[in-house]
Amino acid sequence: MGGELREGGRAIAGSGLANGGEPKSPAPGGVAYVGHVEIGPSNPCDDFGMKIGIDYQLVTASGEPLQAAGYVFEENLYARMSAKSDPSNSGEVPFEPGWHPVGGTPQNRGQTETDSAGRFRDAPVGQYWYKAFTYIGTQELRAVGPSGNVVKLGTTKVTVTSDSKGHGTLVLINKKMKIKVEASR
Amino acid sequence: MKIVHVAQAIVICTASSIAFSGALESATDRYDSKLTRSWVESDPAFLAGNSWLEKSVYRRGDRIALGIAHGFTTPEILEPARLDRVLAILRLAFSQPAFISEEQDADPAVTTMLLSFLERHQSDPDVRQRILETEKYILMQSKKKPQRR
Repeated sequence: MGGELREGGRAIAGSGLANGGEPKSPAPGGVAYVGHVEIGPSNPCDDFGMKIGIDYQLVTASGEPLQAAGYVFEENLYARMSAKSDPSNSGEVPFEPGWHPVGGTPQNRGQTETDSAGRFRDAPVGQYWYKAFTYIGTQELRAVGPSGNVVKLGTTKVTVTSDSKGHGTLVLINKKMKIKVEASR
Repeated sequence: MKIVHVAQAIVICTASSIAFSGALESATDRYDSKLTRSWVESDPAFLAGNSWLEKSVYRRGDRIALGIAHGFTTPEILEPARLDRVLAILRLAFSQPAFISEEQDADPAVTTMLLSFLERHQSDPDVRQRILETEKYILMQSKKKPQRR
């Protein structure tokens, strides 16, 4: 799990990541970034902002892919939002306090836990709105194993900015997991 | 016809009781009335556009109506501007019926009761029509997820 921040688009975990080999049994040490997909708005030309779906791979403490099914991803959320045209139109986003399942959602095909390859898609992540804005959120992440063991996955900071219709930038950083994703449209 | 009228009276009385109870403080807030109130007071477009917030709403289904009934007084809930936000969040609550967390919340029993109450307290035909369209949408959505009770 050492090394530089992992940039979106770079080959963090290639197509052979979960292929072949025998299932491994050690406890997960964290997650690695596999890739991301853009999740389009209902009005692509009119909406401001950006959303993505991000694919994670459970890994061992040494960073090796771990084929472990049944780990439920949970999140504890906080965010602030501000409209660029009206700085007074800003505030804390009222999330449910505490830990809640990340999935399932329609955008992650109803996935609530890691599949047999140890992968999980968190989707959607981001914000769309009808005017220019800055959105900064934190997503404390953990994975809860089938036996109840909790793997702390650090805190993901998500920043979404948009200045014009049809455009948006999203930056996702998790320092503990050494993940950095940048996406724009 | 008599049975229909009696049923309507029961619905109105029950919904009135629920709505008026919003003035009461709950130590435990088991219906998350404060949280639901904060969602209703948010811009509906923001609520639906926020990836983390929208799933909190559509996983709750019918519980949103309980939170609204406990979170607002009757005069508050009937304010025209707020009424439209109430309709928007009730729609969002049933936008993804397959993802409602609790089986019982997939049945819009309280939601339809609340909508009936709201509709009967409106004189503006346009507003009444919006309420009826919301109810129609929610009933249609709720049929997408098999009732398991």
